[in-house]
Amino acid sequence: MSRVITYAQAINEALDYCMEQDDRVILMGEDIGKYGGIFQVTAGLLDKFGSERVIDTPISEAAFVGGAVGAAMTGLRPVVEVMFIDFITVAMDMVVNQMAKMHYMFGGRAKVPMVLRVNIGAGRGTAAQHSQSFHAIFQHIPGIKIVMPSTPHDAKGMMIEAIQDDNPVLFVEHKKIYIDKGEVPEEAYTVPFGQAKVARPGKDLTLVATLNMVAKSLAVAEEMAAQGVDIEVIDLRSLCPLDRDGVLDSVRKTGALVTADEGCKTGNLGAELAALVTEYAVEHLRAPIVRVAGPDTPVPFSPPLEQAFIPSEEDVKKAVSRVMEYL
Amino acid sequence: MEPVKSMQLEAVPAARFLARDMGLDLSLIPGSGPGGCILRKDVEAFAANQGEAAPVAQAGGSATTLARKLAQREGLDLAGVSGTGRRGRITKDDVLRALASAPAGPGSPAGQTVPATGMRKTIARRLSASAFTAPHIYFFSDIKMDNLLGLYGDIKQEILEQYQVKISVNDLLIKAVALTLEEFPYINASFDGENIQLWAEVNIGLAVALDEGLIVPAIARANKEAIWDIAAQRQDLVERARQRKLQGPEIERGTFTISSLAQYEISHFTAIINPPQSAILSVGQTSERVVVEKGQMVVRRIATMGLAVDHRLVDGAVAARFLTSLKKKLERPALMFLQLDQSTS
Amino acid sequence: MEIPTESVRELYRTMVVIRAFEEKVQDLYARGHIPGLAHLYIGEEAVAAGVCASLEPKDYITSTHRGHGHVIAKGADLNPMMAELYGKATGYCKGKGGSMHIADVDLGILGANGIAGGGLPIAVGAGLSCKLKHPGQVAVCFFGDASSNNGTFHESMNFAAVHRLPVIFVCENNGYGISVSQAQHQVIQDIAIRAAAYGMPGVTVDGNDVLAVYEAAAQAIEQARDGGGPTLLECKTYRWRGHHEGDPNQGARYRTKEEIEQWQKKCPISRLEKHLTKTKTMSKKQMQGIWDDVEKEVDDSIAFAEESPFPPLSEIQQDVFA
Repeated sequence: MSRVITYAQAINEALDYCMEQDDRVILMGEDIGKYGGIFQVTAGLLDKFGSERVIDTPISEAAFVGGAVGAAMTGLRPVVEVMFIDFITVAMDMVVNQMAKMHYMFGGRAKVPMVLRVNIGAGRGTAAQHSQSFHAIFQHIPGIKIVMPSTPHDAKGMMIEAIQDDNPVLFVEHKKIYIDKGEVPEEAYTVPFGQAKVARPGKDLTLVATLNMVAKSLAVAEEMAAQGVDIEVIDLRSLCPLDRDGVLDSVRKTGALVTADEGCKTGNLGAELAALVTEYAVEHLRAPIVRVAGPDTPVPFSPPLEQAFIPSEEDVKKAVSRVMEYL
Repeated sequence: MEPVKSMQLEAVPAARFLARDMGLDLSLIPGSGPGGCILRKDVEAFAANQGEAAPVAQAGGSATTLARKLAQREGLDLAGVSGTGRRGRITKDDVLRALASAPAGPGSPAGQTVPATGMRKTIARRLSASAFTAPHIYFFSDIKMDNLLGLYGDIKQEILEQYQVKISVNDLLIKAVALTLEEFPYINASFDGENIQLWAEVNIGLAVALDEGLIVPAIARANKEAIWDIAAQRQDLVERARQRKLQGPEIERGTFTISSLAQYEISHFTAIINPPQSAILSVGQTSERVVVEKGQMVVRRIATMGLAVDHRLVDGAVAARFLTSLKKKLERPALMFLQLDQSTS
Repeated sequence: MEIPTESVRELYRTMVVIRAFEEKVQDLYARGHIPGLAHLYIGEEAVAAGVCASLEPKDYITSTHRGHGHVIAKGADLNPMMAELYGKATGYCKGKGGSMHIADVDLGILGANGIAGGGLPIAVGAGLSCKLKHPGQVAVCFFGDASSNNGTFHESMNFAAVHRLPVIFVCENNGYGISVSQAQHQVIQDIAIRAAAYGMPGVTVDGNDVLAVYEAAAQAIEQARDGGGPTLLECKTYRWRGHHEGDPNQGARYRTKEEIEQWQKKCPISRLEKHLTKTKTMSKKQMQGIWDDVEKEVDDSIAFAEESPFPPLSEIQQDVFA
């Protein structure tokens, strides 16, 4: 049985289900309890599970992210919310040197089954220190799984999968899609990691998008279909493990790649995809690989500037058009 | 961000790999992509339309680059050679074996097959394109060079002393041409089939002969630069042209070309326009000739100059007026100083 | 506090094992047999021994880069310990952690940590687990005076206090970070006073008096087990060797030979030996016997390590994920 709920509600359902099934699952974060989380993702869970399992932490990211590591190593399965991805920098040592490495450094003797929830994205006027999208840098740290569901359906399935995974999972949400609605089954289910989703099959060009850029890419694909361009839109949704074969097979078929992710252009996750393609599928490339990304600047506050910062449908269309010149 | 322009052949990876696998020479395939880039479909189309005139062996299956070049040099037809390389590719060793055992192939007794260099192929491609795309019309004029030579004699020492630059008559010619182009913006222009691009700068290209071909670096802003600066630019560009050390922009910026064979006993000649420019001036040797002035026979030093223009863009009358204006400047150089518009008088 | 005789003997043995192990490591390192870094615990044995004596195998500890003492005191086996130092496949971490990352979660050892202050939040998390799932179990966090200035110290102390977690914060105040003395890195002298800032008890003891350490630790641990929340226990001690093996002349760049000699006179093992003799708890012969046994145990671990193979290269790609 499916019905339409929001992205935030879908995650809430996943948390609710997992906490009910397994009393080792606990929640930690700032204002997640009484307030229900600033984006209301954890609304209602304090009342249902109590303050021992839904912990409103002090403003001490290092303590509670590191605390989650220690708790995970000793039998709990914490789901930690970092209010904005920007704040993760306050706990970087705990993420990079502790969470990501315990299992490896200890020769496999310690597991860290925790989920670290963050959100990225500009567009809500939250300014430079609350709007970044630097999730790509975590690709560079081995030992962290990274997922980015773009729909309510995938959000619920991937959260349940993340909690059940015995590894640390960085769960990347986007603040502009919390209110997006979609069909979500009532029952529990999982969405596997490492499998990109072909949101729209096509044969002329591969367009790999993440989070908020998926919907824009689909819109551009529809528009350009009317002009005779058949674009394959891929929702990457899993950054580590990465669905390499999914992306490479698509590019081998189309011979052209455009990537779309809101992170800044330099070091955007599209760059890694471009490198992958030029290393493993270069003979098939018919055109330059174009990355649609945010500009290499902090996020400006002023509304027209902030709007211009966020990659738009126009930007996707421009990138596609540039590639079309070679096809 | 502007794509980086290069002197190399531009082709997308898929085109390169396809051409290599099919044994096709990329430099012969016209590119339909942005900036003339060769696309995969261009290679496919070329392969489909190709007759027997393939300069590189096809029929016998693919061959390594080394094998192909060697075969070409020795005039060996690869069709009969069996390949022992990967997937049956013909390798250099296969060719050497074939040469050792087989009788001389066609073409070897009577002469020599020399593979064309990249430069030669590029010249061939570009000038063919120019000749077959731009309808050329030619105009000639005999220019009395005495006054110009006198001016040259007059100022050269002073300029050497004051600016440490040795000017030549060519520099005066360059200046005169540049000033004339200012009067005729539609000759300092380019036509692409749809639009006429009027260039903002007047950069005069000079054809420089090298052993393997021709290269045309352009003197920047010749209309605005002083004579000694034109001379300095000219010397530097020609020197670096001979050393093969020119930069792409120094060639690409040219808006008009002067080709001079004045050092040869050539009275006059025709030249092909250097695309995407619209005109070219050919300069023959200056020699003493008998001419009639005011009913009297006099001896004057005359150079015959030819102007070729792209008739899509430049009509005969315009070309004639240009050449006439240039002639007037060269014959009465003092008028250049006055910057009078000579085109109407 | 009346400490059972058997416990006192155990304290002695533990300190001797630590001392013997560390001295052997010092020698092996000097002769180039051990790769990587070594941060020796010589001189501080009383702290690890005194605190861990009141811990069960199920209790948790987090340790520091100078962790051999804690790990031994918590009950680790010398063979996989030595093998880990050698980087061999038979080490606690299959050779992939090294000296600074020895861990045995089964023994509650949540790892030595190479990041100053890195173990504090992890101990807090372990405390959270104990409170929710294993009431009666505690987590001990060892850290140094220099780490008490790190953000994680303050965040962890506060978090543990406000959530009343069973965590004992044991500060080994040996007077130095690497080369910067305590007087140069903080204004206060007794770190224990920082406990007041977070609303938990703070106790300072002579870290070279193993019985004093034992008593103070036992009390704090008992309180935590009973749900009484965290304590900060400061143990004043001194490391005889430099910060790491390779620190020139045992830290001559930043401390004097006289200072070292002064502290060596307060050797925790010698002090306990005097006490054992005075109270006739052990004879000199018995003490010597323990030394002999321990030396042999350490030698066996060295032989074990040297005979063990290195991990295969394929091991590089293993254990990134579970």
